[in-house]
Amino acid sequence: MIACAELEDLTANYLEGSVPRPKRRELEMHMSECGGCREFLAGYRRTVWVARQALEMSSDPEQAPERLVQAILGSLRR
Amino acid sequence: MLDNAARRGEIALIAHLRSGDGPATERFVREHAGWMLALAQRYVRDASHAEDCVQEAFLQAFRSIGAFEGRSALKSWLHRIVVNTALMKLRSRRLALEQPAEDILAHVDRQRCCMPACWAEVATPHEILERKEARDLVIAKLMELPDSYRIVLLLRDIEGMSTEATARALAMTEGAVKVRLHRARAAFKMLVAPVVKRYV
Repeated sequence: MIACAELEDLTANYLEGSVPRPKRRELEMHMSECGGCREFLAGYRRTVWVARQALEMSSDPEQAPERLVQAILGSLRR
Repeated sequence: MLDNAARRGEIALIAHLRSGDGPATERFVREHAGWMLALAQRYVRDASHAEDCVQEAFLQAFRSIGAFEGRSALKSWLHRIVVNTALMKLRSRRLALEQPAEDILAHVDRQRCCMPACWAEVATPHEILERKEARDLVIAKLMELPDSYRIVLLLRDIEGMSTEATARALAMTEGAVKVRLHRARAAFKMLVAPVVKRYV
């Protein structure tokens, strides 16, 4: 039986599908019995999603500083 | 994905840029410099380094626009150039990428799988992120991650690069990328949990 700490170490590989089948089965059995690890995995998944979503939903600033625009145009003219 | 009209518009724009059309070039720079700056800043953090990246990215884009085949949208192409430029900038500050972030890690290691369970209480994180204040806080927490963690997380989870491509970009082994990504996600999870809890 695997321990909580081992599950945490294998989380990324588990979500990527790169944990070998016997170990995967052990992980799933552990999660079926450990509420803390189920929550950890759910939170881990959501964290990845939140990072992506927050950046995607953020509107980019409409304009760069004029100073930068002029510097870019100047360097392109050279 | 661009529709046909947008695609034709881009082809015309590229022709103008290739011919050195001054007003088209200025419009192009004004249209894209803002988001490119925000993107570069996610990687290099420092505002003046981010501006250098954007300037360098435009120079590279104009140097290679003759070879741009239009297989992807112009904005995606620019996006990749900015990311590559930012990574080059970071490589020149090699130490920052290798910074081990012990303080955050120590805390994460102590928490193990007993981290606060508040994420499980969030019914709809999407609703939370519809609030600009929440998005800004989440992004601020992402920016609190040390470079060595933030960059791996950005490349794998945000840009969607494979482990192999990330390892190549950062001159690391794939195993090291996986370990660092896991630690970065765990550290980010720890940082962002209190932010989200404010809205649940």
